[in-house]
Amino acid sequence: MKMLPTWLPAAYRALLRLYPKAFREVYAAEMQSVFTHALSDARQRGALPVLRLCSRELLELPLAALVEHQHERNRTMLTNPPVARTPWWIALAASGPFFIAILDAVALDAPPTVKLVLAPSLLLFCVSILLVEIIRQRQVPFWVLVYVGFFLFGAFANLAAPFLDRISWIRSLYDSLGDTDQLSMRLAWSLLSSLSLWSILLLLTAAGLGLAWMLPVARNLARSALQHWDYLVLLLYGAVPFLYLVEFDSYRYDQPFSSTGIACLGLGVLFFLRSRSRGGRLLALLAGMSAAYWIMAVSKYYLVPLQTWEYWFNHNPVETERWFESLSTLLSWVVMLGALSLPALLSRWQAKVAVEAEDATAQELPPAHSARPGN
Amino acid sequence: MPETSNLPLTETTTLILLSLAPGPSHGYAIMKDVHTLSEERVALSTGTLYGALNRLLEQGWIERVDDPQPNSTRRERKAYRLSAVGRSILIEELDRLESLNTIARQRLSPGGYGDTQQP
Repeated sequence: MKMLPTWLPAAYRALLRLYPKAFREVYAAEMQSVFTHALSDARQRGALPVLRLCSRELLELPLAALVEHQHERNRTMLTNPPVARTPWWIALAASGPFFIAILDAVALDAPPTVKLVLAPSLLLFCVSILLVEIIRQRQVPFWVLVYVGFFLFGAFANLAAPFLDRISWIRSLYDSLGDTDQLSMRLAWSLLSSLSLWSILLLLTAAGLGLAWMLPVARNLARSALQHWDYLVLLLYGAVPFLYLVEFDSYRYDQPFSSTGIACLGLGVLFFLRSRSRGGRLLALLAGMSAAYWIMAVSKYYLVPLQTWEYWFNHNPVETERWFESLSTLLSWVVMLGALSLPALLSRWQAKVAVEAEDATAQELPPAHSARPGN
Repeated sequence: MPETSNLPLTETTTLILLSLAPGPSHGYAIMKDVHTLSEERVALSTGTLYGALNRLLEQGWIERVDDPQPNSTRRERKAYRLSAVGRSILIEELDRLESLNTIARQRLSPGGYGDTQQP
């Protein structure tokens, strides 16, 4: 066999991409070189050996890559031991704020007696379980962070947000971007306001943690939130139901959609607490939030024509309005994905820096023995 | 003192360790040697070979060193060599196989232990 298809080494290189990154960094170049040698030798012996070699590699390499992924996963599990799974009844209590928000969304037109009975009883149930847990553990359980987020950001939404509306430069920015009939400008305003809101929430979180650090009662909780990035994500997630309800604020007929969306958010917390790994916890929250926001984006598209927004409908066709509402929701979703993933990304970066620093220190130390064979 | 819980070794592991017993060797040489040692019965793919080498490195049975005989491309190549622990484990495994072989031969020989047990 004189000629070899030139794409074979390239195809092999592509197959190597199936391996975990850490494995590839060490062995990929060597494996490629071994394959090239083996291919060149097989070529001397004819077409059949080449075919045998290629089919063996094609069958075994993906399987070997899968084994390496599993091995990597097991090693990660050893270095990051699994987190304790929270019992179902406590997980339900932790999702309490979300049930209260559902009640708020569903029972908007319900008689006041229904709201007066249901919401306080639900709150009483959650607070009782919280108290039982505090007595049992002799410390504030970490899942209370979702309550902290819920009330802290709820207070911010209710008290500070109307004040922000009165600031003149924000008002003029809104007039030039948000209050126009251009879809792109309005979407830019939407993105800008989402980014600003999350920046404020992150600053508030930092300030809140600083404050908690100064209070001896809450110092443990603040320390835990700084040590475990998933606690910080849970704290930030507490803000999401409020933001969700605010996004649906001016809508009619939204109750079935808003309550389903908030139920998805609640399920996110439930699965967060039932997950055995920090990665699984983040995934649960991101999945819950994504489901909720996609429900909102799709439902807005269908709800907009049912609304009585004379001001906007006089400026723009209904079709433009429904696209704007859906797309701006998806923009909020993207910003929220970034904000909720930020603690995990920062923690990963911090771990990488620590490993690099450790490696640098190890290289500076005199070697115990030479690595060269024969020495 | 090697841990006997590591035994028995898989055939691939035994052949790789055996291939490294005379001295350091690089990936392709190990692959060819394993093929020869097994009388052309075991043909390792690169995936199986490097998966096994990775595991052996993690266990400390082999070491990764600079290739003592760089190839014509003058690119830095890596070779693998048996560590002291790896050598002890290989010896343990070969002793185990030898002892098994002796017992098996005794049983199979005419008038051996196996034959005396026959009714």
